[in-house]
Amino acid sequence: MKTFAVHCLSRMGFGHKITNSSSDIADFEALGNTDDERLTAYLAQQLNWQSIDDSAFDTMVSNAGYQTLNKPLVQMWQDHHVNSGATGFNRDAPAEEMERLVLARAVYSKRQLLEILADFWHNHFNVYSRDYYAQSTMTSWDRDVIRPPIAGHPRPIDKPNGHLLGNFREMLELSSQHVAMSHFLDNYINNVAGPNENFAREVIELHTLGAENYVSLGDPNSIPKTELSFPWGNAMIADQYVDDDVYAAMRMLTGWKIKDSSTSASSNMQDTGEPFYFEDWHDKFEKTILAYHWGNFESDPDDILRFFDILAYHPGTSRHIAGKLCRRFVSETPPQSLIDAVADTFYQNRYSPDQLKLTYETLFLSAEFKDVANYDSKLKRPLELVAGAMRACGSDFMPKQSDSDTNTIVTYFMQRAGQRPFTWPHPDGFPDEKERWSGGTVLVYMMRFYDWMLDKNYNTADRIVPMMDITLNAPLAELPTHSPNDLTTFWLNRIIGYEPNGGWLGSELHTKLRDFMRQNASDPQQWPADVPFPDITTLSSPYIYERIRGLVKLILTTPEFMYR
Amino acid sequence: MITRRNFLKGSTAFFTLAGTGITLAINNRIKAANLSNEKTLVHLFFRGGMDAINFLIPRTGVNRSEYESKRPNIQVPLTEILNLNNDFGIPSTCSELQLLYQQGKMAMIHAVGMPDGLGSRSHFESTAMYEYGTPGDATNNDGWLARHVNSTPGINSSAVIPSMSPGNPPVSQQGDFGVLSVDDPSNFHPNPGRYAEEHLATLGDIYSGTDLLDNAMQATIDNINIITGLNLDIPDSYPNESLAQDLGLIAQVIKSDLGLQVATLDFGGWDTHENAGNQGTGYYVDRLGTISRAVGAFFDDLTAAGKDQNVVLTTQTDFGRRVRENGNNGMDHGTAQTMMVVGGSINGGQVLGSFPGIANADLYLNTDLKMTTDFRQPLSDVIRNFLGNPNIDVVFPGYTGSQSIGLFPPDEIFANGFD
Repeated sequence: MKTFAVHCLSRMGFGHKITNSSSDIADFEALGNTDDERLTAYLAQQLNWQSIDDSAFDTMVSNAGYQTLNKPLVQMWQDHHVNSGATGFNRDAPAEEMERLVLARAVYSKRQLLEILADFWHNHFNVYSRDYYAQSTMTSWDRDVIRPPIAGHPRPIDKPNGHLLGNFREMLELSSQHVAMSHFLDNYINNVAGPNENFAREVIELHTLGAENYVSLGDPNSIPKTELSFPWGNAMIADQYVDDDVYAAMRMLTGWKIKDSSTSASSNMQDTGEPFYFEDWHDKFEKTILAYHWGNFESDPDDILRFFDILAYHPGTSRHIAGKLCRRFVSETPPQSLIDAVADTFYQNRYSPDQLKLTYETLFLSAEFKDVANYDSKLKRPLELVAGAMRACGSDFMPKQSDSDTNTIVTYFMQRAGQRPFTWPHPDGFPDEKERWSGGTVLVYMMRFYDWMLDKNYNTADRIVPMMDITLNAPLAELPTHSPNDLTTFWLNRIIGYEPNGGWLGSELHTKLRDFMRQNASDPQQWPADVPFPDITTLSSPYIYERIRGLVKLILTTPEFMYR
Repeated sequence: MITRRNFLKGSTAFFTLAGTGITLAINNRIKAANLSNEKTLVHLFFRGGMDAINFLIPRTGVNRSEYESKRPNIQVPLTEILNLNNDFGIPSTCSELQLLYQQGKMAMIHAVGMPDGLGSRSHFESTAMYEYGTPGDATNNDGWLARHVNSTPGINSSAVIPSMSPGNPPVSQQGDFGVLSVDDPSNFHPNPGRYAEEHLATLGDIYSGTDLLDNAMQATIDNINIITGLNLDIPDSYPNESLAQDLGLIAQVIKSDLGLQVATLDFGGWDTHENAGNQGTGYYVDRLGTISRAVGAFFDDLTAAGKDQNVVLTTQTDFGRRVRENGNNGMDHGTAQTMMVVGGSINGGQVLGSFPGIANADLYLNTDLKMTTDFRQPLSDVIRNFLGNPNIDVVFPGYTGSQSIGLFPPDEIFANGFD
């Protein structure tokens, strides 16, 4: 039976991690006497991320030679955009580091909930990392918009809580003005003389209200309105949006650009990559968005602040974000009552500095999250499969830049399987429906990845997962003998993380895998299921070593591992 | 996909044969099935929203003057246009397409879209409705191509690969588990080593149920067995560009006589909000040139193999773009799109549908090219009159206006419509 611990670890992170000396399943189990106690304790621990000692991982990162993680945005822009080439810094180094760092964090950081939430928000505010400005600023985008601030990189003073554990309104404004997003969705060139509606449309459709609140080609006068409260007073606001709202939002967003070479030429501003309000480009005439009216020249440039307020504090946005969270973390078809409950927390706490943290508490402590009926209702995507396989198999390989093995993982296997990090080219983020990730290409490239990562080259130290060392050094209680039965049980326990009722031995899956182990490619004689192999390391006939690799790969390809 | 699994399982020793034996057995069975006259639809989706009127460009009269005034910077000048008919042409980067048109193998259709009020300018909503084949409803959950494959009487009962998609299959094939999704057949095996067959046999054992992953894994195992040993090498005549290589792989499967019915391809890069081009040069027309070279190589290959009569290629995109250019030499999201249909047996060499005009009074909502042809009409024409599936009401639920738009000669309609 799938245990509650394995369920939680596969939803609130990238799956369980077991080595010969540690198991986070055991750590989870030790957190209390009941499932509820354990979940409550685990969630509190994970949300209080700074209290988790992640120094071992921090050391791995600092030894891995990442260059850009601590560069302030302006420095990053100078090195990798303005002077790239001249300084010897690659233009796309921030993008390349980010796609590797995200895998390293998924596999090794103990702050698993933070990492899976970062994955959620990176997809929510999706930026294609090969976009021209984004490629030079991706590590800033991750650090300065998505994740909670770290020492030396505080948020702007008026948006101290703009991050994934903080306040959505502040995060939305940071996202809208960051150079990566501004360029990806073209707002950096949106100006009164030549407006561009790309960002205006997506900030409403994807980042806030969602397509479910879009009345395509609708008449704005026919949309019902509701009186809503804002920090600056009450206002009648349209319940849903129409194309006219997008056009007005486009005008609202004119002039919100980036200090780049075009600005330095036209207004003596420096070329720094920072957000910049360029008054000459702003459309100052009256606008109506979601039934709220701005008069001519009204509080320019502060008109944009109320625009973000109306989007971020709209109940439709609460429902849109809540729906996405529920589909990502609970089930592809969550009950409306759960979406409403999560949306209610989001909405009631919309001015709170820890609005999002409170929202996650409602989500993860819900009856639906704990409901056995929702176990295994989601299919892992390639990032979750790759990271999950490395965790369950006890990998000790650190992804880094300019490294051929990391290149192979990211630019070959993950790319071919369809989820190289940060390469979804559209602003809606990687799809999350099961049907999209069950094609033959995904299945085959994941199996090929497992094949490659398991003692990639046993004769050298060049390994992603030291499978044979782990097997040889396994605790006796876990692996009493090297018989087909025991080897199969051992690796099933490691990778699946739980046993069926009655144990693995005699179960259908165990028997099928054990029988695979008994076959010899060059000899029709089958090895007895209970008799230990004499030497499991031998590379030649009877090819036991190769059979164990096949066994581990097949377990990684079972539904028990692939669903979460 | 019952038929294909029966085909594969026809040999009771299927999973226990040595590797080369399996390939031989499959190849013999393919030959015996006689799939050399099967018909194939190749559906190409241009992700991002491809502009209509910088592709099928007005050349004369008021349409031309309106075009020049509404697109002062990004217009394609007359000197950079290859004529299709008197009134319309395509950019000079599309010489292969012009040749196909002149050979009668390509038709283009003006102003294709969804019925008034049912469309959307949202990428995601509009794309979903096109792929589901359900205007006004973006929440359906199987694609129109999957419904075609699952409802057509036209699939030869021995078809080995009824559907394929290089890369990950798009939404239009959602619900069709037989899709061969593979982009590199030479590497399509979980373990090409010593225990290759044992791996597949154990996977087949584990995935013997009827769940989503069971279906997906069974189809994948079938596909691995089928393509292992087939020669699907793409000829050097294809440009080394992803679209051309993907079409090349589809052509090799067609030429292998595996009974391919439906193949889909995505080709993105059309969300041209900025720097779309300048006076007939630049990004947009270059991107069209990529399509032209790829489709040209594809049909050259098929023609040389005597297969061009059996293949039709159709195209679709999220939506067309705004008629007036925006402030950044780009175009924002609009409505009607231009559709291409290519095939050896079509009534090509003509521009079908009616051009709604682009004077201010003619524009949809004052900004967009107005839809004049429902997208389901040409697709129904292909489904019924080329692929021989009369069940249009299954493929496009609720659609009733499916008269032929004239893509096929009457004798072909007769031959396919009444058998």
